[in-house]
Amino acid sequence: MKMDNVMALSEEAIFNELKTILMDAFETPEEQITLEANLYEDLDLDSIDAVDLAVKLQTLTGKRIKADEFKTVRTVADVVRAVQALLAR
Amino acid sequence: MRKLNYLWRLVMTGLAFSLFSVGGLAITLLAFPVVRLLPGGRQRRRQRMQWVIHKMFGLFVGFMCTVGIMRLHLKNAEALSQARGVLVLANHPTLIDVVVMISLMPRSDCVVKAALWNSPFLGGVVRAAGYISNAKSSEELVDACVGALREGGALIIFPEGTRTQPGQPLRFLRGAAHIALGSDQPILPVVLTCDPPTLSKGRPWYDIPPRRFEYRLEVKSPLSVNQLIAPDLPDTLAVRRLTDALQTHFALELAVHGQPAN
Repeated sequence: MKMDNVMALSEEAIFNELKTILMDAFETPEEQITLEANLYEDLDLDSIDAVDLAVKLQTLTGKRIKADEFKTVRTVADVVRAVQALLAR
Repeated sequence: MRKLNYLWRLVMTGLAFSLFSVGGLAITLLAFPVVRLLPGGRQRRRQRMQWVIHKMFGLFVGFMCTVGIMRLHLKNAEALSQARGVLVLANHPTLIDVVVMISLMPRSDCVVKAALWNSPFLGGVVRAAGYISNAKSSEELVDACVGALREGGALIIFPEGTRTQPGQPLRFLRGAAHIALGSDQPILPVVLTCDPPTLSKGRPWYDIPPRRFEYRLEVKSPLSVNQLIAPDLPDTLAVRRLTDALQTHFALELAVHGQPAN
């Protein structure tokens, strides 16, 4: 997906993109992926996975994510917000 | 007579625990300065320190066997003493697993808790031995472990991350798989069992078993990553598949021993 397309993405569209990444890269069961789900406790990601996820989001948005920004991310909703903030920059 | 034996083992278990602390202090005060003063670079010092720890743990295990707290059954243990540049993976039923393993390994690397790393008594020893502190980010920890393997170390990792929860199914964390995939070195599986269970998680030292425990250590055939998972998987999937494969492998080995993982 190109950056121009993502620019126009709504919160829901970002959520769907994120869902695809989680399912493909981390084999997260679809039904577990909700906005409230905690990446580490509910979705069984670890901190090395979080780095991988950040890299994938960088590719998706075409913008650099600072490691510190991503450290505070806990839930799926946090990731969606982080991507929105990234696109608004 | 049984009661007397129980009391004897209780006192000796207490003594063993005290000896362990005293021994640690003795290494720090005596062996450590000697090793530091001997000629040779950092690498030689590390190896000597690892050897000193190996010998001390050997004495400790010997003490426990001699006084009748435990009986040790070894199978293919030579593979451990010759291990170089291999990732040694073991299940983790008891508090003494790493002690028994290192007592068989003149060279060994392992990951130690930050509390031990910074301990005024033993901190100097584990740092001089070149052991790896876990007080790092996961990425740095994996890198340090991969580095130790590439330098020819025999790195001991308990993939469960902590002692086995008695009565629970075996559950591996992904760290061991990350290290195996990062280093591309062979994996040496070590299967440990303790019967009757003792010194397991959440059990105080004085809660000793009704009889002397039989501690079994068996070194299995080396494994390679290629044997366990499909090639060319993306990293995030490879690490998951490998973790599952290793966990299944150990669960089967433990089932063969006729014991659940505790």
